[in-house]
Amino acid sequence: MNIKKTLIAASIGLALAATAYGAAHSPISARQAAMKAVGGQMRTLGGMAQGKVAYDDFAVISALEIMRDAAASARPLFPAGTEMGEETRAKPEIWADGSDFDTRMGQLLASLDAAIAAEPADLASYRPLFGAIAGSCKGCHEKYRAPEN
Amino acid sequence: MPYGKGAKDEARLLLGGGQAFATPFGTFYAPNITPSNEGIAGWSTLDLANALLRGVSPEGTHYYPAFPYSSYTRIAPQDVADLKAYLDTLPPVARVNTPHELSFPFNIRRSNGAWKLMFLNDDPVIESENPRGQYLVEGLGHCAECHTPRNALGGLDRSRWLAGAPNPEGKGRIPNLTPSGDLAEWSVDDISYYLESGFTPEFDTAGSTMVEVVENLSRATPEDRLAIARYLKALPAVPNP
Ligand code: HEC
Ligand code: HEC
Repeated sequence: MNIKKTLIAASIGLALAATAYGAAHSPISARQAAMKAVGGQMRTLGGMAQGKVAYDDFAVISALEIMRDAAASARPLFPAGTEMGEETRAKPEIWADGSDFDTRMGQLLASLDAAIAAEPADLASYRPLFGAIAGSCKGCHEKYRAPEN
Repeated sequence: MPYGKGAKDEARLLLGGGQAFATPFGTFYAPNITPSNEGIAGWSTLDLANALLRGVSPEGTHYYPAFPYSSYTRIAPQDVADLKAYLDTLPPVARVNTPHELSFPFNIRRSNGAWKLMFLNDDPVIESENPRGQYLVEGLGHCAECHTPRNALGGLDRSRWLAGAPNPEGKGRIPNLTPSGDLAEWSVDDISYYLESGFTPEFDTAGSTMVEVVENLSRATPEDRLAIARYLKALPAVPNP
């Protein structure tokens, strides 16, 4: 694990950091930092969906907003020709399958927008919204993310 | 059209075959196992038992070991009978099997007989005080078919049992499940929750071919997932190469 990457993502966990980082670095490290920031919010969102942490609507909305910005910043960071190098786990199918990958990014963003707009006030209304978001992570990682090396 | 992979809901039960499995020996295509003429209509329970437990077809030919009978050989007879009864209830699919595309000498089916003498063995792989977990992992769950490396002939390397393997699809490695891998930091509950939901303790989501496995294990009982998790926690540690 790259320490710089971990520090940047962990210190703020914000998409802003990922974007600033992206300007100075390759698309591969930038998208990994952005994806890490997306993943960072899952701890809050997943813990609550699982019922391990008490439901807090304010914490949910902030996590969703941070995740949305991070996901939006990751979206343009998969240009053609970046399927190799820097331990990228992106599978070549991303570029071979035409627009499917970008459509899935769009679906993740749409599910995040929908959850933010719904302002879920309790666990019961939050859980299905979380399910849609988690389903889009899984579906894309199944097809387009290789296991770690 | 390939059935199975990525299929959701009702389509998951259309077991017409066609899914491709890339291996170092060539590409295998899963066969039709529905009760149709192109599939296994007319098979008896004994035929299914011979296929699963011994890797032999009703015509007496040997299946290629890509069909995980080196794990399935441990399945209990009652489970084979239940499986047969269930397969008979599934919708028939009229899809003709795709021939495998294999490189020499693996394209010679006869060599599978010799292969089996060397590798087909239903002894327990490790000593375990958790018979249910052992049965599910070493047998039905066929976890080793992905998580254990193979020797030059394609047999599972028991000295590196579940210690991780190259990814036959290309990039990355299938993770080490022994206590030398990332699972050292996971509790039994963490593992069992991952097998149910696909979430790691950091809430990253499972990816790649493990998604399908989780999809299936999410339908197992909580007790069975816990038994699997306990078996993994008790594995002999084998460091990454
Ligand atoms: C449209 C496809 C897609 C979606 C949707 C998606 N991801 Fe990813 N994710 C990827 C790819 C591809 C990589 C590998 C990037 C690389 O290594 O270059 C990745 C990498 C990651 C990583 C590892 C980052 C690192 O390098 O440390 C995490 C964590 C992650 N994703 C979490 C998530 C979560 C959580 C969601 C859902 C909220 C999600 N992803 C949704 C495609 C996606
Ligand atoms: C078809 C191949 C395949 C089979 C069969 C399989 N796995 Fe996996 N498994 C994988 C892959 C690939 C990963 C890495 C997933 C990822 O990249 O997110 C994985 C990851 C895991 C992990 C997470 C490990 C980690 O360090 O993150 C566990 C636990 C696991 N598998 C358990 C099992 C068990 C138990 C079985 C049998 C019931 C099994 N697997 C069967 C391919 C497989």
